[in-house]
This record gives sequence, C-alpha cells and structure tokens, in this order.
Amino acid sequence: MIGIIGATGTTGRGLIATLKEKGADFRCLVRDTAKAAETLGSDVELVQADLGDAASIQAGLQGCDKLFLLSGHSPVMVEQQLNAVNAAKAAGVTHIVKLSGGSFIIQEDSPAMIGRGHWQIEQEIRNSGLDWTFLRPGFFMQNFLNMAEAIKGMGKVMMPVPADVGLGMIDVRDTADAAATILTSEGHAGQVYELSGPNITPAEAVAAIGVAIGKEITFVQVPMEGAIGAMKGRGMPD
Amino acid sequence: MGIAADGNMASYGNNLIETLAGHAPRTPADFARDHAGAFKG
Repeated sequence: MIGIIGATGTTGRGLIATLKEKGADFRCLVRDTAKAAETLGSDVELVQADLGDAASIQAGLQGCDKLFLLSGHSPVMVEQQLNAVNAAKAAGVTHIVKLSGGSFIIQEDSPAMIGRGHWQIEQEIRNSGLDWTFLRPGFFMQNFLNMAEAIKGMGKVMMPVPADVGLGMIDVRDTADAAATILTSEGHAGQVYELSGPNITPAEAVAAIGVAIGKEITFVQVPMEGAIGAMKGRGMPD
Repeated sequence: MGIAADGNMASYGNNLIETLAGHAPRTPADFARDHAGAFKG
C-alpha cells in the first residue's frame, strides 16, 4: 500500500491518474475528503489527515509501506514534512519518495528559504533509517500558467532570465509518471533523480505557446527584484 | 524555478523521464497545445 501526501495539487493529480492506470494499491491523505473526492474521483481511497497533526498522519499511514511526500511551499513546509517523516516511521512505512526541489536550489546555505527547507528535510529523511528516493525536477512548464493573465492581456511573458538560456524544463505530468513508476517498482532506494525534459530556452517555450494560441507572445527579461516582488504578490514565501 | 548562486539559471537535460516514465518527455509544444485554453482570452 502506498500512502500519498500531496494528492490534490498539480503533480499529485497527475500521479493519482497514473497510479489508477497502473492499478496500484494506494491511499491519499488529505485535509478535506469531500473536496478531494471531487478532484480525484470517488474511486480513490481517502483518509482525513492534517500535516500539522502527526497523529492524524500516523493513523492515515497504517498499513502503508511506501509514502509519496509532497507539500506546498510555505513557511511551515519543513515542520509539516518532518511531521510526515516521523509519522511514517512510527506507522511502519519503510520507503519515502519525496518530491523535492531542483538540485541547483537545494543547499544548506541556499539564498532561498525553500531550498534550505528541502535540504533540511532531505537530511532528516537520509538520517531516518528509512529507504528514500528524492525527485528533483527542473523548471515546471506549468509555471507558465501563472503568467496566463499577462499572456492574455499583454501578450507578454516576463521572467528574470535571458531569453536564450537553456533550461531543463519539465511538464509536471512527466514528473508524476516517473514518480508512479518509482512507487510501484523496486530498485530506487537511495537514488536522487534529477528530472528534466529537453533543454529549452524561455524564448522557445514562449514561442510554442504563441503557436498554440495563434498569437505572437513577447518574452521580456525583467530584473530579479521585480520577479521576486511578483512572486511574493502571488503569496510565495522567500 | 531555481536560480543558482551565481545568478544563472541551472540548466540540464537527461533521459530519466524516458527511463522512468516509459515515454519521451513532453515538449513545450505538447504543454502549450494541452493548455492553450488557459492562455486564450
């Protein structure tokens, strides 16, 4: 039995769809079971759990041998995921598959709080005595969905990177497909998988969006400070 | 999105998706086609 934390997000929904196709035995731990059933389907086993409540996670993971761990970026991400790690161990889980951040940001002294957080969680999992697998994806293509309003309104994409720098972009559906394989097969313990699709420049990606919608989209490189302000405006932490 | 300490976006490519997912990685064209509705308006 696979326990899933993070089932209702973008990557999680893709993972659940693939696990269903594979006929895998899994259970999703969610805050709101009624809402999750609407999102994931009534054929998915759901149990109520709160990442702030380790006891609820431990109860939800009873009978699970593997855990897929994903939670949103927030100031309490570390506390919540460590709750899950400790609860998993107490519940008898033997293998944690964690969706982490990109390798370039996961450092003890990363300037980004999110990078430091993932680093700390990974270290705790490594020291937990459990088997582990870390997935470190590249730039999510779905990030462009956050720019949909600017594309629709101004025909522009604004990012703090040069138009011609190659990025290891990945569609979150591919991350989900890879995670589903890892969760349903053996031989992945102790592995750090850096996941990326083809090396694509922002200009190429933006051009592809333009082709798909029949409209020319302009790429604009903006100062980092402006991008940080925009991301904070969307509620992202430091 | 991650920015390396020197200010450059880290870039890399590999074939792990093909190995683990069993299919070629989706391209930006695939993504754009499948989400075109979100960008129209």
